[in-house]
Amino acid sequence: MEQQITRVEESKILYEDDEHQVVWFGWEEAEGADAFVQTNQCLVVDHDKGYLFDPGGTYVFHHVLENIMRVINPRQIRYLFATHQDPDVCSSIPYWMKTTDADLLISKLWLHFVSHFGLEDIDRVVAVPDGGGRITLDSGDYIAMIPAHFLHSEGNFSIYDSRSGILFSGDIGAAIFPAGERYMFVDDFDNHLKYMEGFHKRYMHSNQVCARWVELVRKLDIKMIVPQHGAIFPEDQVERFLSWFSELRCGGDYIEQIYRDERF
Amino acid sequence: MVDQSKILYEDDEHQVIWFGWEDHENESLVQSNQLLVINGDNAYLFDPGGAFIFSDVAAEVGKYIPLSQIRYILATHQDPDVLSSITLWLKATDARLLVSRLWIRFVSHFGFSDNSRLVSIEDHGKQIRLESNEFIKLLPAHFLHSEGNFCFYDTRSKTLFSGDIGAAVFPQGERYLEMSDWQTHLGYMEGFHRRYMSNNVALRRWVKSVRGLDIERIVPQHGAIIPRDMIETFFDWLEQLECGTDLIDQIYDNALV
Repeated sequence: MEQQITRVEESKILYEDDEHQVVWFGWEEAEGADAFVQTNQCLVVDHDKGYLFDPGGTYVFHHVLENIMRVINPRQIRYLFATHQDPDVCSSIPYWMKTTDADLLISKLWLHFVSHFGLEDIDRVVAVPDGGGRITLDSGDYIAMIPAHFLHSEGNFSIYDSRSGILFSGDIGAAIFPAGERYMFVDDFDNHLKYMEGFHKRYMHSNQVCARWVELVRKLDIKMIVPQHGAIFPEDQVERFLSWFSELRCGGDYIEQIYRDERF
Repeated sequence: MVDQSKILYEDDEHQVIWFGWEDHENESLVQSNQLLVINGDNAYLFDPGGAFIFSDVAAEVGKYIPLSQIRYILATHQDPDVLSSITLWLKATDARLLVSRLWIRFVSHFGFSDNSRLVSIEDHGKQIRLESNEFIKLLPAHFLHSEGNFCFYDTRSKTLFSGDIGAAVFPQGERYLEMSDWQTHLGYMEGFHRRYMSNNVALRRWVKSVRGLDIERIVPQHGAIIPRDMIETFFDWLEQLECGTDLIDQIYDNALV
């Protein structure tokens, strides 16, 4: 494993004031390996409590834990948030439930599915209804789970930190880089499209839903979008991304082509 | 615990065995069905299940065939209840895993680093030729619910393993192996399908592609087997069902922003 996982820029503070921090953690595979899709994790620290978004796969658990311990004692983590049920998002959950006293927030659709990762009880799993939910922080700000269903998962949320204005968007906005090409922030949107487009056209549900989600998040004051894979959209790229996504034809819009295995 | 296994089809060269598994103590795990096809000396395991039930399923499968004779493990999609046991199965067998190309670089996150035993299924599907010149066909079922999703048709026994399509969620103590009363069963299927299945377009596309098959039984990954005489009714129901994004206003209603 040590040869396979490379810790590129290990962590970076995306936002910081006296009461509140948002820290990004990333890792990627060693050059030439091709087993894992790269993932981003995000930790919000508000006063003495931590909130971890999309903790990641079993395989990267100890790397993520090690990074987090440089910032906060894991016992201070109050909630784990999962945008959806996929293995790259939360197969590490049984370990995190042991390492922390946190509750897991996940769509009600996956309540009885995530236990299959190996949880002994689900007392600490909170089923989030389709409308989403809000956690009020000690600073008086909040973290909201914003509906993002069918993008791609049927029970899926984006996570918005009101203090920093950071929107953690899960698979929405994800990019897959060729080896050695990864960068942390998007600055050339047109160039970035080539790493994003293929993924979104196949995994996202349909234009109808993309447009619906954009309509919803446009009500928020967004300073930054952090997807679970790939690069971060800084404030000056947010509008460009939302416009592109709301117009995107994808998924079921191409169902005939997909059944015939044609590229589109 | 595995409370039963049952031979669904058997001839001199070919067997299809169903394994059912249910959590009797609490309600924390969704019940799942596994299917094993044995053809000559080779075996094929469909949707092996969650990490939590691995040892029970492996022990039960071992009563029928040595685990080393499993050639392929087939996964309809990437969910934990389908596949979080895969790390253990790859250790316990020499089998290769067949899964949608969409999930090839995601399933390793269950906890293994050697992708050499993963085989990706292209969007239009694939077929495995069996010794007796029969096939296991991996047929597209995308967006039902997963974006990269397949169902498996065994030509010899005419069994269609449909993954989440046709799944039923029973109230405690109400489970049965094979459905017989359509109206009763509908009550256990409808809620799940309306929320998890993508939309009516995807359902109709799938029904169109499987209607031409000669199907003896449909085995979903959760719930009960749909026998031949109910299949037409089942397909007709799917074709008219409004689900997923057909109901998007309801699902996105009351969004807390």
